[in-house]
Amino acid sequence: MSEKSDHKLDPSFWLAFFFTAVIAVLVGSAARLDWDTRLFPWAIGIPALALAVRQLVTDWKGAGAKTEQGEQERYPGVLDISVDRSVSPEEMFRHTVKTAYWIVTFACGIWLLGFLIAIPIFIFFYLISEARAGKFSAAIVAGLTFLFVWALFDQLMHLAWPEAALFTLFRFWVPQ
Amino acid sequence: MLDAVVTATGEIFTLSRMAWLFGGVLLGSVIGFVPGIGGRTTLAILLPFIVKMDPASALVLIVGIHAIGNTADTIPAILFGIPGSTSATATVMDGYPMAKKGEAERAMGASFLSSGIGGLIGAFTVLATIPMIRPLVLTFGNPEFFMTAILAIVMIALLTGGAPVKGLIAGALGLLIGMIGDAPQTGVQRWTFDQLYLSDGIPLIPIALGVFAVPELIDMTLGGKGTRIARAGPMTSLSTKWQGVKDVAAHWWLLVRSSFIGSWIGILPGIGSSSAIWLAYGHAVQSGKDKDRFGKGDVRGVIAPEAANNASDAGDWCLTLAFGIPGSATMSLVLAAMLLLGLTPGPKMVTDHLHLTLVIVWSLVLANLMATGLCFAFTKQLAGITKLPVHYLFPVLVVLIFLAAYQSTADWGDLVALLGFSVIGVCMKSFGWPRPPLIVGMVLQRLAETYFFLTIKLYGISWLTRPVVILLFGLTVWTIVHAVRRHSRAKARA
Repeated sequence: MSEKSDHKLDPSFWLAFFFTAVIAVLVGSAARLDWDTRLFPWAIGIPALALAVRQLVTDWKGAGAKTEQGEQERYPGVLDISVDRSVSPEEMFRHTVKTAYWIVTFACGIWLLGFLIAIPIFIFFYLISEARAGKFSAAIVAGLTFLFVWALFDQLMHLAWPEAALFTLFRFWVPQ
Repeated sequence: MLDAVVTATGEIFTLSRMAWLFGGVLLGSVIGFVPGIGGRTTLAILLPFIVKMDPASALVLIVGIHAIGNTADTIPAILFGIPGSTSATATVMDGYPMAKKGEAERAMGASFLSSGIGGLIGAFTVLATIPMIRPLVLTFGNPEFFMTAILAIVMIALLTGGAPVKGLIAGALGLLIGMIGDAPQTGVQRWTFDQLYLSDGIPLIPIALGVFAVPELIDMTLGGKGTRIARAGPMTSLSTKWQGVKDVAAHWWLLVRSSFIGSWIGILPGIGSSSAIWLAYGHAVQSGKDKDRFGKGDVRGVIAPEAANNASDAGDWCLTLAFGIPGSATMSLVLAAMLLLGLTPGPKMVTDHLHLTLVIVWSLVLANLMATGLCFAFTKQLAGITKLPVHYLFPVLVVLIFLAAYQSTADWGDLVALLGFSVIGVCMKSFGWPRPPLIVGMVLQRLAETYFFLTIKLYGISWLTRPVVILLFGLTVWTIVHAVRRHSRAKARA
């Protein structure tokens, strides 16, 4: 087929696209502000937008990908904690989705039940299903974490906990 | 001056004051270990009790709590890749990879010792500069502050070497995100999209945790059941805390340079330790011969930011005491505590109340020694955590991250910001976008914008002719040219 159909986009392109879009929206919407308020956003945003577009074009052309050199050389010289390249991108993606699922589940648990109830439940079920821990040891870890959080954040810091949707939106009756 | 030194020494070396100091260090270590809590929260909790104490004892306790915070926040940064506070974000870069290599004890040994020595150098620098602190700080006007902020962002953005453009975009994006909320000079709401949560801007903690901690948390559990953070293998002499001590001795000149960077940044109002650590880290990378080792577990990447972190603390104290200008949020609480104690920070603290200022300097020295000793004593036990199965650690760490993010403003928005920036952090890490410039941009945004505005309004174009501005501008240009040349050479080799 044509050369165009073989062209594989660097995943970095989509992030560059996202950043370009965000910067463009911010710079564009700053136009509605008065001069003093938009001066700094434009001083930073306009050059940043130009750089983002340049990066977008570079990633579109695939200059940053160099996949033929192997994964190790994919993003050379970037100062950051190095990514584990020993696992395939597909496996990495599956793992990321699975972990994200637990994190989002916990977030939903907080929304539905509140922090203090969601914490032991999340820890207990995670340990049972992912760590294959026994029910007793899972309960111990969940209980100890709950105690620590309750003592420090609730009793000592008096943190204002968010209202749990189950008890507010759905008007469930809870014994005090 | 000599009288004040003698009085201060007499005041600090009493059983009760030493007990308060140690109590502060101990309390700070217990609470400060939890990510996102740190000395500020501990101080806020204790504020009502501190008011009833005598001023010297109260100041000693405050210093004790504060000093350990900057040392203890390194522990989760090294062990789990979760910065205990924003001033520990740079330590994650090399501290956590060291833990993954089974060198957590070594990293912590180097970190605690660097923190302690950095704190001491900072305290002595402040002591030495007290008489000339006012003219020294006054050499820095609005244009110089602005250029310092720009230099810091450019330096970190271009450290990325292989991707200078991505680094600059990330830095600029950090600045833009920092601009969300009310504009500092006009008070006009900017990019809030009618959301109340955004009116004060997005707090830094959920963003730092999302960008740094969550991607590492995902990587942590990659190996399946039974995986440990530290790689399997016997403990060697290279893995112990004593190796960390040797590392500090071997890189003593880097430690001294980083401490001076921290001290100087600490003295400058508003910049604070969150920037000092990155400047010191940047300096370590730029001055290092083998730059490729950074980010993969190089001990220099731990020594430099940790020394700068604690050294900046002393400068921060000096600024609060001598000028009444808090250089950080924690220092605002210190300022409040001092006012409640009947002490008015300002020039009188270095004239009428000089002995109290010296009590603080003494306390800083002793608290840093105590904090280093305490953390050092438990290094082996702490490092043992990296040998636990990660599937037991993961849910507890997720809980701590959520709590740390939520306690920023106790708003749902904190959790949404955490999740949103987690996605961005994961993508940035996976697709070769450097994360540090994003955070540094956010940290320095308010300072940069305020001084940019004042510079333009007060000086017009003439600010570009000021000597310190020319020096800082030259350094910025040199950083850019150096990075571009390095990038071109690397491309030519490829």
